[in-house]
Parts: sequence; C-alpha cells; structure tokens
Amino acid sequence: MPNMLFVSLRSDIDDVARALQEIAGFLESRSLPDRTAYVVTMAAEEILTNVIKYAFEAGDSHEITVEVSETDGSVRFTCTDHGREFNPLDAGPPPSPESLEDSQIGGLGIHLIRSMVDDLWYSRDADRNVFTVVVGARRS
Amino acid sequence: MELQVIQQDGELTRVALSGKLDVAGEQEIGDRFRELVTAAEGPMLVDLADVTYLASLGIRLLFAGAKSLSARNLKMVVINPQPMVEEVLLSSGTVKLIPVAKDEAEARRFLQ
Repeated sequence: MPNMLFVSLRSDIDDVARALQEIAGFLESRSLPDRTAYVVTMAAEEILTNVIKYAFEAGDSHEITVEVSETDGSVRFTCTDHGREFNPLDAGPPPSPESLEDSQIGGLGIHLIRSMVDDLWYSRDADRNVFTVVVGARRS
Repeated sequence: MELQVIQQDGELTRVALSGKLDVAGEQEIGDRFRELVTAAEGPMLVDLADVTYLASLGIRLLFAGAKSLSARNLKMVVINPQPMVEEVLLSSGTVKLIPVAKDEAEARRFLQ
C-alpha cells in the first residue's frame, strides 16, 4: 500500500466529510495503533473545519489540499489553503472554566490538538496557510 | 450514529449513543439530543459505551446540554467511555464540568 495520501477538496462541509472518509481509509490501510489513527482523524477534522470557518468568506468555494504520510508508525498530516492568513496557534489555550456557566467552548478543537499530537506547526508560505501535525512520533 | 432512549421520565433521562460522533454523526443525532435535554425533568445519563469517536463537536453538544440542564438545577453524567473517548474528555477538561462515571452505580452516586 502507498504510504502517502493526497486529497484535494473544496471549502465546504460536505467535501470535508468526504476527505475525512478518504483519510480514515488511508489510516486503516496502514495498520496503525488505535490512538495514532484516532488522533490523526481528530486533528484532520478540527483543522479542516477551522479552515472552512475562518480562512474564507462564508459561501465562497476554494481549494484545500491535504497530504497524509506514514513512516514507521509516525503520521504527518499537512493542510494547505489559499485563504486569509490564519494561524490557529495564535489563539493560545482557552481559560480553564470553573463552572458550566463560565465555560467558553471556543478554541476547544485546537486545544485538543495541542494536547494530543506529538508536534505541530504553522507557516505562512507566500499566500498559503500551511498547518502540519505529527502523531505517533518515535521516541528516542 | 444512533441515539437510543433507555429511560425518559421524571426521575431520569438515560440515552445511549453509538457510532462516531463526528461532523456527520452530530448532524444525525444532534437535534434529537437537544430535544431530550429540553424535555428532561430530571438528571440525564449519557452512555458512551458504544461511541468510538468524539472530538470538539461532540464535546460542544455535551457542554451545551449540561449547561442547559444546570440552568434548571439538573445534572448530566457521562458513563462508560471507551479509552480514547475518555482521553479526549480528560484532555478537553470536560471531566471537570461533566462527571464521567465508569458504571451506572458510580453515575447514580454523582447524581445524589
């Protein structure tokens, strides 16, 4: 089986669902530990839904590209789009709520990614947002 | 994604979710879940034993439900999460606001 998947999608929720299915199929084909497959799936869903919410004007349709590769159980997921500059890591961790009444659930997705992946970084490359996460990195 | 109502009366609303609570799953059961929260006259138990995937979208659904119940002095307790779902509940801080029980006996203690 190839160790890399390339997916091109439009910036709408139905195409995100299709892309996530393709990513799930790829992860299944790599026989990864359950946690690695789960965290990559979660990161992909959080990142793609964030991009279509924040990087583009509502109603516009743009191309987003995703690359997923696997080497020795370590998975790298990269999402690239031509939307407005949007670094999800600028948000910082959400405040820890003390009660349900105080709870703010914005920023929860990126907080989850930060706490569960092994590495992540964002770059603005010319007019593109490039966001990468690594899951299942080999520990030395 | 499926939602099954196990009990719905003045004493307790108990629902069992099954499948992946992702974008598609939330679209399938979200409205029904919110209706049950609105109709609840007592605390709510949400059984996650057969939920294989949960991320921020599902947590928002639980948070919003628990918040709505709390405004009526009612509690929500989540029970039986699978290991990865439990890790997400821990990492997101959900467990600080919505108790997570290993079984029904523990859940009932949380509700006392």
